[in-house]
Amino acid sequence: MIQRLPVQDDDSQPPNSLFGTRTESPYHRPHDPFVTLPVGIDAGEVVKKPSLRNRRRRLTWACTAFTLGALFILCSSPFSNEFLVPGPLTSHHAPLVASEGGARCASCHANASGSLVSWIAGTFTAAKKQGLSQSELCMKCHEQSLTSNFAMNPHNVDPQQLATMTAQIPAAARAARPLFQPPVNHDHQIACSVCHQEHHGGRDLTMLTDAQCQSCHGNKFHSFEQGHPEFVNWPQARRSRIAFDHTTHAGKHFIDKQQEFQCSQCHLDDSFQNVKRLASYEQSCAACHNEQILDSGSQGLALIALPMLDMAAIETAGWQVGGWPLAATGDFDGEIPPMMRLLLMADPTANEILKTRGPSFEFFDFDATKPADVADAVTLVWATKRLLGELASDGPQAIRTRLQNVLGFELSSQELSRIITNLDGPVFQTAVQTWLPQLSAELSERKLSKSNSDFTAPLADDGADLRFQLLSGQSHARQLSLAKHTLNVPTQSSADDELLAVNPLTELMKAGGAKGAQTIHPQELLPAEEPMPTVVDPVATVLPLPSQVQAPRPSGWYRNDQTFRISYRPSGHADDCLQSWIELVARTEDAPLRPETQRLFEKTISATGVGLCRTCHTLDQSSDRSYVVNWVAEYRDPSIRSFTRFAHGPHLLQPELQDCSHCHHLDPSRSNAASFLTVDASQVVSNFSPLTKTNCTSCHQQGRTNSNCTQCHNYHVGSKIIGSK
Amino acid sequence: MKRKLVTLNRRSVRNGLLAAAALAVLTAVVYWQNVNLINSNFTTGYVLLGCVVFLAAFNLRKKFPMLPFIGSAAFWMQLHIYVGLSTFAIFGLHIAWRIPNGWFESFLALLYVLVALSGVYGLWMTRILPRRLTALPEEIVFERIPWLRLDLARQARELVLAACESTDVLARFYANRLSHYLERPRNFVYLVQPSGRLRRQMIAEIDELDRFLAEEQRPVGRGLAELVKRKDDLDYHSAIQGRLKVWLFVHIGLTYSLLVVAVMHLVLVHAFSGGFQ
Repeated sequence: MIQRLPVQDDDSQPPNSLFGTRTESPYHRPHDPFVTLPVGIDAGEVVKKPSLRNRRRRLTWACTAFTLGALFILCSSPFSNEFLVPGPLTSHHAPLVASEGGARCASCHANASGSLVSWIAGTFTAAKKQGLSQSELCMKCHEQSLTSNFAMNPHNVDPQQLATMTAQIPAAARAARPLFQPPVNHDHQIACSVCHQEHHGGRDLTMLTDAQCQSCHGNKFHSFEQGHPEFVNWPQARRSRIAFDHTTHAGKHFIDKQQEFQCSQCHLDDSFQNVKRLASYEQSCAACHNEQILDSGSQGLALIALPMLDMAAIETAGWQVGGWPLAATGDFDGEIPPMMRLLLMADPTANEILKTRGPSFEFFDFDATKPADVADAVTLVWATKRLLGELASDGPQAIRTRLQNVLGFELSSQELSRIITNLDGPVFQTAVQTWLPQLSAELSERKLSKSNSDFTAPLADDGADLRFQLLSGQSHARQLSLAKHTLNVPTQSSADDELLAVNPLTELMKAGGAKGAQTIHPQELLPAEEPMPTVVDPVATVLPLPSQVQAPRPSGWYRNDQTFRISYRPSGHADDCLQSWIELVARTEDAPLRPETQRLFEKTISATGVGLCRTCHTLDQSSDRSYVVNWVAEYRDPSIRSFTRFAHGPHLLQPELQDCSHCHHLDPSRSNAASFLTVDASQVVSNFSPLTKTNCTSCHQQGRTNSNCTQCHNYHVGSKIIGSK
Repeated sequence: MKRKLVTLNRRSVRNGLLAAAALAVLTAVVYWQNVNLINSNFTTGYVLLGCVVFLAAFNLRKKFPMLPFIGSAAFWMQLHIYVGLSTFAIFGLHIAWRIPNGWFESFLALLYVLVALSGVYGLWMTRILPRRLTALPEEIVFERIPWLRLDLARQARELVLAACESTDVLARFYANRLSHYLERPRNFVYLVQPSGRLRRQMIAEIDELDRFLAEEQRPVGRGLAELVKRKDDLDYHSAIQGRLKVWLFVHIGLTYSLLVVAVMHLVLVHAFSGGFQ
């Protein structure tokens, strides 16, 4: 006989009360409230327990409640950041976390500073912190390395510029558009987190697979060795800034000098051997070219020069020019130096004549028998006198005012100090006192008479003694037959002569050069400092300076009282004053064509100009029709990144690659001389055969070594791109 | 000879192929998203969460059997098994086959692993253990085991009491050795790893008593030995059926915790995601 009892549960009913008795069944379900008891067993002997189902339900509720409570407590605790963070940051971001303390999540995540409600709201809306999205929060720290304007655009490039570059891609490749576009927003911006997945510890944040690169690039190919386009003219996106013909140097000049042509003599390693940088002028060029440069500047560059005047013709024509040095009289002769021409053209009367007569005009061109020529000559003489008067009274400020008037742009104090380089007002005063001692009175009187009558009216004929101070320090008073004024101009004392006689040209004069020249303020001969890229000079590759460079030559401004000139003699290579005049001219729009600057352009920025600068330093034309002189051989702007990079260092570990010609094949038939004469930097002609992909694929192929896209290509390049083509 | 754990039939092959095909499609989608710079974690995460919610809904199926077109329990069980097994691959895709290293994500992953592994364990046991039970001489309802155990103890006690008038050997043996064995459930070690060692020991001891018993008392000894065998079978049922029921405590008990943490994970990843919204 079998008793039937309900399953003992919390809510179980007394036996046989609610459920009643049931017929015996061989089957039993777990949730069946009845359990058959053997005969003789008292239900009270068994400890009452809830059913398994009920206990399981209770446990489930308990677990759920515990989980909710634990989450609430942990999220409300000071350790919520540590609990919720999905993983450690990379070491690069560790300082940021350390500095922000408890609110560190908010430094990157716009939503982190809010409550759970704001988190939920942020699930559906754009979360911003102080108006900044999460990617913009990244840029708060990375704005130094990425161009802020286009930081989130593909490649950090202006979309229009990118479209222009895309248009340069062959049409066949361009037509192969990707099936799906990457996740960009309506401004064609892509979030930082698309590629940079943080909170994965030490995993490379910049890791990008080839397939991901090709998600945007329609021109798809299998791998570097299969399908990657040829290099074409890479890495030469532009011609080199320094004109250098490898072919002629290797095949002729070095042979003539009986020297070995070694690449490493000019191409030096940086500290990591990653970059082959060019050696300095002193290390690589000076040994052969220093003398040429010094010789080219030995005649100097005149700022002021008094022309020869045909005083008889002037007097015959009824003009008066006032006092003029006797030694500067005779027939009309003498050129107007380009610098002086530039200053004179600030004078409207002189400007008209100089423009009319053209850039090659000289006083020699005046015909003494033609009254018009004589009148022009007189006008130019008075313009010259006014110029000298201004220089004597205002000093360098007069140069600045006139240059600004002529060139049409502001001249900074720094630029002015460079172009005059220690040439100050007293220098001009001394020159005027020496050459035209009555100039001040003449100009005052002329100004007075000009207000009453024609400005070319003869001056008062009261006679004058002109005193000349010659470079030897001796004072000579010469009676000038045509000068009618007697002026009480103080004669320069011998003591003053001594001061001015600190003449670094003494040695030169002793050697028979430039007699009568007196240096006004010598320019210190500083070691040529060419701005170099920010790379560390490896000590081992610094070459000793050639002895020729160390021998200083006299240089600076000097006055010649025999030729009545104030000139500048460059110190040699990288002379700052000469550089500043060249930059001044190059900065002028259409400088080679403008009457004001044409002569100075030819005199300085030409292969035969003073200093021979243009022989090696190429000229680039800017979009505003001005020019940039490439003084620096290598130009490495940290803000500029190329799409393609190459490090020599790892490659030079291979013995066969230590020979440069393994990759760089010099082609004797290729001359690049013509490309340096143009002002279009994109005209690239190399002495070397183009680099081919074969140079790389012998090693960089799948199964041998890394040949991923990012091995050679940068993603972030910025708005300024090298080699965009 | 080792028996095959799982017998493959047409239904298993069909369901397995369907699950594999669905996973292949999902893997292809994830690969396509990855190469197109689309964050596939959202895709795999939502699929995984959907699967977990669907698996949890299996319990609701039991609660609403009256709903039309709800399908049979066996159909739902098959879905539960194959969707549940598929979540392993989806989970792997979601975490990119790496071990989570944040406390919260590790907790979530641990919950998933416990629920999923308990499910696999349950699946394995429901395929294996019933065969072991059918090898036993009688079928026993798990809920009746406490009463049956008491019944065996009562029978043994009555047998001993009936025989103790002539000698106290059986009574002392029952009091010292047998009552403890018959009246109480087995320890945790036995529940984990059932063994007949104690049964053999107890029967051997009963056999040793024969020399101290009179001829008429020996059938009592044999009766006690029979009760020892039945108690051991009862303990074996208790251990095996207990396993079949206890794994659900882990599987179901943690399922809702998993859902709670998963929903919070969903909120967090959206609130802290770095994309443009």
